[in-house]
Amino acid sequence: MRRGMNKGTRIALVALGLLAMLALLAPWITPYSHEYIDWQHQAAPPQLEGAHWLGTDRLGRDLFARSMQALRVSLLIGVLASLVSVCIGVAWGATAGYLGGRVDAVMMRFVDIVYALPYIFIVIILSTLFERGSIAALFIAIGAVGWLTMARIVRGQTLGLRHREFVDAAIASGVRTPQILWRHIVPNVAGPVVAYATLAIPQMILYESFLSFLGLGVQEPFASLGSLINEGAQEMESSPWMLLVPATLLTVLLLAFNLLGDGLRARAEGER
Amino acid sequence: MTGPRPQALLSVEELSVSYGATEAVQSVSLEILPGRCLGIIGESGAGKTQAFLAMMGLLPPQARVTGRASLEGQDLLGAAAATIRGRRMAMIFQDPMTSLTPHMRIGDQIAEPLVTHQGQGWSEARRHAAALLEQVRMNDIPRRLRQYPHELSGGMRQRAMIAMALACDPKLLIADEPTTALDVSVQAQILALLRQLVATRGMALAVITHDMGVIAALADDVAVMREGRVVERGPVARILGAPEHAYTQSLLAATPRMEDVGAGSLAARSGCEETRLSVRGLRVNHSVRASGWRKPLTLVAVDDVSLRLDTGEALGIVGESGCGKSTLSRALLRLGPLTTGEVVWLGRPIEALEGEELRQIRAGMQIVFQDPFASLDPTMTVEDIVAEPLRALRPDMDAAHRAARVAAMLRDVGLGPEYARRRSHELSGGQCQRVAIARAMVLEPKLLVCDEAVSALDVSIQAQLLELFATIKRDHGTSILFVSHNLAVVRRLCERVLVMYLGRVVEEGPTEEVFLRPRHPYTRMLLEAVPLLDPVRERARLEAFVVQGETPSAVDRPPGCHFHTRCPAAQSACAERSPEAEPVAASHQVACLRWREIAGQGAPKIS
Amino acid sequence: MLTYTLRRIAGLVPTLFILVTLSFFIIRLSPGGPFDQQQALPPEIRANLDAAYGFDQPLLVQYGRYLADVSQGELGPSLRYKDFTVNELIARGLPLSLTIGLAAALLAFFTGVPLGAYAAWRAHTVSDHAIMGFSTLGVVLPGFVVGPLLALLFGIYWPVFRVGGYEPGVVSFLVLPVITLALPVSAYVARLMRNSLEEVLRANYIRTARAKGLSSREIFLRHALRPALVPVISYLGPAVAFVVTGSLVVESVFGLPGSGRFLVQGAVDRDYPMVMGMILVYGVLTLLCNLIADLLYAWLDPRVRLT
Repeated sequence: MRRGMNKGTRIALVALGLLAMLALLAPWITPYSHEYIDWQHQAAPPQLEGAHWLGTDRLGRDLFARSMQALRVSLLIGVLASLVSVCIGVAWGATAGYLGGRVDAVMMRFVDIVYALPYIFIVIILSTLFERGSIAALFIAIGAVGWLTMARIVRGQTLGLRHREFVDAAIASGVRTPQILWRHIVPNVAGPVVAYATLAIPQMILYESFLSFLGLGVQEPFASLGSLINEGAQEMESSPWMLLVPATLLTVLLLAFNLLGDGLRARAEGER
Repeated sequence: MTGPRPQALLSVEELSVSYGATEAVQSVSLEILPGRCLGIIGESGAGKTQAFLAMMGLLPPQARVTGRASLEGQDLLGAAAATIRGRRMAMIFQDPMTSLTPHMRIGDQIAEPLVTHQGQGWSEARRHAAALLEQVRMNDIPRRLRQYPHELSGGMRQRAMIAMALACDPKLLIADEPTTALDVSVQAQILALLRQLVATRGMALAVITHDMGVIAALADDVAVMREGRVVERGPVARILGAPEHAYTQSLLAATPRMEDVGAGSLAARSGCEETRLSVRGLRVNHSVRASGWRKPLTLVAVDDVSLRLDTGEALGIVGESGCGKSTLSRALLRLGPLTTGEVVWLGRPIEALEGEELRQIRAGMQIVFQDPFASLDPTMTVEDIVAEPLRALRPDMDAAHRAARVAAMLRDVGLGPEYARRRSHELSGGQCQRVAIARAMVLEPKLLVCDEAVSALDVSIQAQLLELFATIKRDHGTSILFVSHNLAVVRRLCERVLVMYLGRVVEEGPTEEVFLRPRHPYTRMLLEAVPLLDPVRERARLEAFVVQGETPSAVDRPPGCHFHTRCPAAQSACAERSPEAEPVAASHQVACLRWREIAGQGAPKIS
Repeated sequence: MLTYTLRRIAGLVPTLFILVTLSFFIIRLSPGGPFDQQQALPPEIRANLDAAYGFDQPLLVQYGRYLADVSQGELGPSLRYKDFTVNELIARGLPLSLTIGLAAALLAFFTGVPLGAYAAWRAHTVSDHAIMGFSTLGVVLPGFVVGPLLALLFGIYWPVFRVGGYEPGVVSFLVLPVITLALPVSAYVARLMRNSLEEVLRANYIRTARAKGLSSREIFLRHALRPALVPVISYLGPAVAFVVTGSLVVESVFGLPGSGRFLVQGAVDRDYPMVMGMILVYGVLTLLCNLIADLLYAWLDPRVRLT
């Protein structure tokens, strides 16, 4: 890790670290589980010294525990989905960009068409193909769109790289095509790829929250930040904390990932 | 000296420009008298452009400027200087393609300063723009006015930039590397144009350049800069003829000259007369998409080229942009497309090889490119870069052997072991190029193609690398194919030369023979276009330079002999028939219908 | 310019075709049919229903019929709302959705561009950092967070606007939804514009313009603005896609009777013609906006017309 990250990026990294730790250690911090129903404290406001630090929801489930569980789900889906989209996107984009010609035209036309479809269509179509709450549907829906931007970026970078003299020099040195892709193209797109991958994580988390908000994502009794926000929005007049807690968590999470990604991207572009 | 000293037009005292701790310009003092031309010469990083950007107020906000600079007594470094910019003092830049606004028509860009500074209306200003284009000898003016920068050729863009700068009749014109990005024939035209404009307008001119030839052509006085300081100053005849400072002397010594013959020449055959590379009838066509619904056009980049290269010989391929020399060199290395033709390497035809067979023969033929930084993978260390060909084509070598070989190569190109772990962004241009040469030579190739390999380097580094190539040729018997637009450089290194124009070979033969007794009008033009380092002879040369126009686009080649549209000796037959190669003397051939008649008319004056 | 336009339009047809075909087959091949939700029907009635709607024909024949209908603008009957055709249902909600979408897009671009330009002009100062800070927030916050929050603040605590449902002609209902929808797009456009303009201002031809002694205003308007707008215009396509998706959320959060709900409901109910119709309508809209964006791009940068 080279030095020279600006302040914003450093803060983001710290915030993310804290949140991740909190989410992972939550089961040992709080006595409540995400589904335990506390009949005495239904829709209770937050009391830092009291039983429920962040209050409870309509049914009496501890909001802190539920939020932490939702945070775990979001982080997991975000990181995993981002990884998947990176792998597919890099492979697709590098191949299209390097081989060029017909192959490139066909591959990128495919990307263009899927890109032109509003994301919602794919979600709807996919939700009709699987039963509700299927994790497979979630992954496919998110993954289906996530890799497109990555493929476009990698393809653009590869196109630029392919005509640089060091690639020609490698060909002249007798290096085989797969070796060229792996040894020359991929390391040189690594910078922008990592940056955009980091920016993709909050996108994935957003997509997942959106699906949950529509009722197509994670199902009861599990929670996702999106479903918590949905519930909170319904109760916002009487119990605003039910909206504010998950909304703040989601905002901070997304903000931190975006700042981190922006910092990485600025560095990747500055190096060129 | 009698009479009062003329008042200096531009006066600069102790000018310094710094960015944080880095000093780009250190205490520079100079002056320019009205109507005179000051040439500022130095290599890259000397600070010459920075100094003048400071005077024009074009530096970024982080720059700190101290000292004094004034034009006709008026301060240039303060806030009030904004009124002078573009009006009494104008500047033109090196790269006309990126220096002109891509989405504005040429006519509007030239008219703009008139509208801003002289309050003219647009139609009146456009009429003035047309008049200005006439002064810079632009052709087809009504059409040019409405065109966009990307529709113009390099020379025309530079003329447009000059017209733009002259719009408000400035007292001083600053030209930053005005001819560097142009072909040698166009260079001569632009230099002649600048001289003529200066004379008719009584305008002062400041020329910033790294090219001694430009100094000889334009400057009355010279200031030599190095690392932000002025190291020597004086009238041009003295600076070029009898320089006093060691740096100036080294610059002049390193500059290859056409006047050099024999002495300093690195052209010398070594090894036996065995033919290694034989090319016959090579043709490379590109398919270019035309606008609209028209069928795609065929661009003939290389047209029926044949050549021969022997052991230990350096063959120069010269020509201006668009002549196909780079396409040719890549085609015969099988790095680029090849449409038809025969390429026989070490007795074996390679034009149709594919896959593994092609890979195997690559060990014998390598290339060094023009751009030193783009030639090296920025994510790899120097030793990995040089080791890569060994990994790919010598799998029998173990790691220890490989490392030893890499270290030996780095030593041979003049880089110590401390460079092994560095990456390209930590190296200078010259060092990067050395690494590229080490990589090319690590497999002990019998053929080395140098594609403008020294063109992007400072003159002193150029000289060192030419020595290195000569050593390679001599000690390893490597055949070298040296592609370049710089005739003086080719003359230093190459025993034989091939002249190309729009894809065809127009003349070929021993270098001395071709340069001393050129037969083809285009070869003559190229030789006449090479700047001389004697100011007197250089200016006479510019005035006598007759070839007009620029190289036509390769998509639209003139019929018959391609050169006939610009040839001073052209006749009607030249537009109808395409000349074949005819022998002039032993191994000297020319492709011109009228070479016998022209032969008697005297060669260009190089000693 | 004209040939470029025609070529672009011609290029749309295959995309549209693929869009229709893909959705048709995916919807049809997915498990569950429109009549499965209701109680189990006796086989004869089921067979009659199938015949009436043409479901007993081979899939390819149904496809062919559908293509024929669509090319005449007929989107078929709704299977859920049996007395209405898809055309009629969509026509009810579409004007409102289009109004909100258009208003949001216009608001986004006309706030984002000036903000971004100002930030670039004052690059690296406090104003720049402040605007970029707001931009980051705006991009990050999802519509289903912002919507309820805005509704809470300006609809309930300080009731400046009206929320919940819609009364035709009462604009107050639409203000918060439009702002919610516009916010992320505006934030993103501001950032795009700022980065693009900052890069353009470092170009060689801007240095030339300065060397000519032009004023800052002249440089900005004549030399810098057009190239700086290029990435922003390129974003028009994805922006529309976003607005389409976002309008669904906004209509849901604020309870607006737009056409978005038909898509979701249609998918759940397996109302094939409805889903297809919605996909077609929104697909055409998206493609049209992409086309306009491409044409604007070509107008801005003459070099593109050669492609």
